[in-house]
Amino acid sequence: MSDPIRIAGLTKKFRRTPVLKGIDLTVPRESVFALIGPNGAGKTTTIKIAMNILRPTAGRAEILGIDSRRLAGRDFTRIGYVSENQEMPDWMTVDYFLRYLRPFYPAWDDALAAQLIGRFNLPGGRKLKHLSRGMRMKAALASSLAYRPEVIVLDEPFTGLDPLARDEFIEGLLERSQNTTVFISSHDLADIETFASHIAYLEDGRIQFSEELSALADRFREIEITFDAAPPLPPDLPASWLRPESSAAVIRFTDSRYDAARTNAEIRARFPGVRDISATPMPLRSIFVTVAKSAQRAAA
Amino acid sequence: MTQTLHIFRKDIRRFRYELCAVAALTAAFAWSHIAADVPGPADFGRTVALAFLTTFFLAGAWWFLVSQLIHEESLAGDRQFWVTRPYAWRSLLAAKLLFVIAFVNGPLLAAQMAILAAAGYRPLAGIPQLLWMQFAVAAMLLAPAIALGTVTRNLAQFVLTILGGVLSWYVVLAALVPSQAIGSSCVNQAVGVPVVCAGAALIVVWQFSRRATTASIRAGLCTLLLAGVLYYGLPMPVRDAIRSSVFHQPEAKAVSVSIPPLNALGYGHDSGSGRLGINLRFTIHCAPEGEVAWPEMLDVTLEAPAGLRWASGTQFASRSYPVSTPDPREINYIHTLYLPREFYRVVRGTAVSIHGSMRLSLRRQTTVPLPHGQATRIPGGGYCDVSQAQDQWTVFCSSPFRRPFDTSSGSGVDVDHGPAGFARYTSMQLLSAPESPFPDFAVSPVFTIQTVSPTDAEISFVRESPRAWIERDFAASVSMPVEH
Repeated sequence: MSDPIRIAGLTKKFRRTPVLKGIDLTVPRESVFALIGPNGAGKTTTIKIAMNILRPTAGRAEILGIDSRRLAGRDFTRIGYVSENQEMPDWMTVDYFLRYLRPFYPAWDDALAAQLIGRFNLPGGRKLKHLSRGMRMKAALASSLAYRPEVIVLDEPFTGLDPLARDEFIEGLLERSQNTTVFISSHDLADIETFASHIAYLEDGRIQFSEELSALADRFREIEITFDAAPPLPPDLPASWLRPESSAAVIRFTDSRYDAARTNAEIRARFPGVRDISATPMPLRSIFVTVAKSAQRAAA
Repeated sequence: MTQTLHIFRKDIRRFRYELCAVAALTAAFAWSHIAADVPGPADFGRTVALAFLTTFFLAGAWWFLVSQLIHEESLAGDRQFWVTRPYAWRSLLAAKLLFVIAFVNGPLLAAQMAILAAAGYRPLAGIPQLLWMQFAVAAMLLAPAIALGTVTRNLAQFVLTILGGVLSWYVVLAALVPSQAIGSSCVNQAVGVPVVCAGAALIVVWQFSRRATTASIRAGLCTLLLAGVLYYGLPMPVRDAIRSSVFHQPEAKAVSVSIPPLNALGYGHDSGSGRLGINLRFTIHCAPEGEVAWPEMLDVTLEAPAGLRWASGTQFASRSYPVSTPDPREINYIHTLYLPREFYRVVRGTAVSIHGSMRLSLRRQTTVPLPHGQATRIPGGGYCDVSQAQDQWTVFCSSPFRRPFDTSSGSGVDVDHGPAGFARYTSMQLLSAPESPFPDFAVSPVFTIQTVSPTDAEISFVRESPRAWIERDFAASVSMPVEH
């Protein structure tokens, strides 16, 4: 079975401003793939191109083996899409919205739709325009899960949601998306960390890394080296040692290619007077901040 | 088809209040036109104004409804929920067109049939013309609105684009199009209007199938530019060629144009713009029996002995001064040429060579006297009713699918009517000169005009049907008048 989303050399310019600069990405089947990055990195543009809402300047995106530029009509019976800034038919009630969508999807499951409405506590008779932001997102998610899509794409779904709504949204998504590939963009790293299986980091239109979350967590460590008296930082530190800093008796950095034996050996080779080395696992948020700041420093 | 009907039903539910408003306006439109199509109301002007207003508001309501209908599944922008749902663009487009046909064209057709029946015409006999009117309304009013709806995101953009477009159009017209070129003929319309319709259709299909808004906007601007160029800038030889091919009449060969050798040029008058008006008399000979030859366009070149030369370029011919001659097959027309004052100063009082060409339309005349105090059938299926009102006669004419007449003119002796000015004719002529074989563009199928005639005027209705469009050369030597 091929990967449901494949992106190769994707480039997008708005007039002369480049937003995506040739990104490559592969989303494995049945993964929960998080595309993270700071505001303006190009996450939404990537997703909109993948969904054929925007057209690429160069390169291509494929979803379920279909070139995104040809994605249309019946193809969307296998794909769900929920976005924070999507305009909904506000005049419809929740019930009518789901009833209206039902004939578009041969695989629509009425029982599942009813379950989702109950699960999300959606008021069926209320118009979409009278729902809170969280409720609207949940209504959109319910309408995108009720036909059991093979791929569900979520663009910044947590923006503006309170913690309770966020939890309900994530739980509802995970409960009903078995056998489904989830592609989600977000900068809400704490939540992503709890359920994503894969992660890609997009910055300034380029993918900085893309891998399994567990592998990412394994290779990033916050290293603290203790000395009797810390030596000055040498200029030729490895490129994988990010944001090195030195204080009275301590040198700290983030190792982005951590391997206990190799890292310890390299530290001892560079700093013979080491008294102690500690390697602390990092939460995703810290990894994100470290990588972002390193990129900013390199760009400056 | 299933998806089309599903979207159609959803749109009915969505726009149920708007549909009620459009239905009420359609009923008001029918009622106001029925009221205006009755001969002899004292407040004819008021009923006509009301009919105009209801038509205006109905057209506005259609545009509003169409824009809302298209914006319901907006094609411009990148945030619409429906673009990532399994909509088939053909089904969506079909649903929108079905909605327009069902709730704009359908009620309009019913209203038009009611108006025809109330005015005494048989609606079923006019089905082809009614269908043509539906097509014309769809092509000239609704298709541009649908096209504009597809490239705008909301009502505010839609309205602002219309206002900006109208303003730009008039600015461009004022800046680029010479005033004498402003004036429509059926040939201008026949080439300009289809371009607008085809462009609108192209944009609609393109937007629904590709959602390429920027490209569609460019296509729309090119369409308007092309339509404007064809409408206002169609070269006269092309226009004449089209007319000649449409109105072909071999027996028109005998017609000729000449300039009488003596006193051909009348005294001039200052036009106030550095030019001097010189009246030039043309005689048109041998129009076929029962037909009249109208000068339409002409080119004139004056050549003085010293090698001095002036060419008028193609001008619209003056048609306001037909003068009868003793020969019933001849008629004189006077055309005013505006010469540069410098040229005139050199050639005045001298003999000049004058030559050029005139384009004429040959029209078959049908004259119907309109007796006082009764209604009379007129060509085209309508009637004119002449009834007395106080010290004058009211002439009310009604016709299905066409204006009953285009101009009215009188001849005779003027008398002082006090504040109303001078008006007393011994005869009055209502002239109808349709050029297009199709119904006039309008929303109502019945056209009415009311005018007033002094009591002693003999009133007649003249229908001139175009039969041929011909070009004739002329040449003469004439003496230039001396300014006084």
